[in-house]
Amino acid sequence: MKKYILYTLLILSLIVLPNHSKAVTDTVDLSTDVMEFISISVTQNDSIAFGNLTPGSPLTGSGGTRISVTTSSQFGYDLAISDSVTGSNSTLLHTNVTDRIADYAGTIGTPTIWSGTGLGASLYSGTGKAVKWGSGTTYNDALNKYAGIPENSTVIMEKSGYLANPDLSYIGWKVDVPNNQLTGSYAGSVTLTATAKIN
Amino acid sequence: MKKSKKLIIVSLVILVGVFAFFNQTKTSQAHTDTVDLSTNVQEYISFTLTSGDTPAFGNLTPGTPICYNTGTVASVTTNSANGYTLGLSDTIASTNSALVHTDTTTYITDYAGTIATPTAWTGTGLGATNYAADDTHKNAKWGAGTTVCDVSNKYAGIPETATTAHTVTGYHASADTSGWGFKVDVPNTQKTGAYAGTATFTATAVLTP
Repeated sequence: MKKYILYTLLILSLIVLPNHSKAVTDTVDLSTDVMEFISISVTQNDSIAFGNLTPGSPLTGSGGTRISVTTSSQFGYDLAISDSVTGSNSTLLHTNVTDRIADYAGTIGTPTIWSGTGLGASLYSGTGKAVKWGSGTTYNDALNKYAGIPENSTVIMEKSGYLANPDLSYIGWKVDVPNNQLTGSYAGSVTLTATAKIN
Repeated sequence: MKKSKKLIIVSLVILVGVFAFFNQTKTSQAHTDTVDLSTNVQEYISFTLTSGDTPAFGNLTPGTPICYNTGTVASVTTNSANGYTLGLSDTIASTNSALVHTDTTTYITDYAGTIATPTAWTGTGLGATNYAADDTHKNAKWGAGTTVCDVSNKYAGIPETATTAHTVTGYHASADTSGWGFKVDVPNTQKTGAYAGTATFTATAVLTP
């Protein structure tokens, strides 16, 4: 009887065991460092025509300039402004290519409520807007604070953290001149620079 | 004289009788029986990645794919009469790849091609390709590439669970190898920083053809 059971078990084991498959594994460790991508575009009002300017009656144009920045930086980006014009002159140059309208006196370090003359810019809206720009919320808000535009690129807004979508910010412009400003047409360009933060 | 002859004849008869008697006792009978031996050899399989098991893509600029230029060589030794399969997996659900940011939340996606239908590289994500195999075991679906970064390679995202990416049939007396490559790219919006992860190869002996 015992012999019969043993033989039966042996036969069963030979039938059953081959159906067990063996699987063995090994792994691959992958790694990469994703570099930053950044793009900037003025998506609204990239041309501000103030129109006729009467000395002592400042103008703000017809709308704010909208800036769109897209970046993959996990640390955010800086938005800077410059006009490549030295000294206290603004970018607005007379057709005589000599005379200029002055920079507004407020600085990016310390913008001020509009007072006086010159060409000024105000960051009136943005996800990274600092309190120093005043409490205005529209392009011509009296509560906006203005700064002259420096020769070299200077940061007007710091935005921290990763942004899955384009980030929008808005700049308002204002200009006035003293009574002795040479009449005529003035024009110029301002440069906006977005720089991804890498740490 | 007559009496002597008789004696000689009697002696010869006795001798023949004695010889016959002893000769008869030396004849033996033989009986046979047999032992029936049997065994069923079970499968053995071992698997190791002999090179390229730590692909470090380095700095990745969005839109500029990087192919890791050292192939990952999978070496399988098995006594299986029916060969083996090699599966790929990353244990990451959905369309995310194994590559996760140091924030532990953000992933690089899987490449869109699948193991069932790999595609020539286009787009972004992490993809794998089988660019070489012993004998003629490389499946044509992986493209006509023959080197790790061959532009003719076709790529697939790595699925969450082990999925057969390579099938080798028949018995192989020695180790059977296959070459695998990895490629990655990301969209402009991919968060910057360091990403890392692990993909798993699984070799399984085939028991029934």
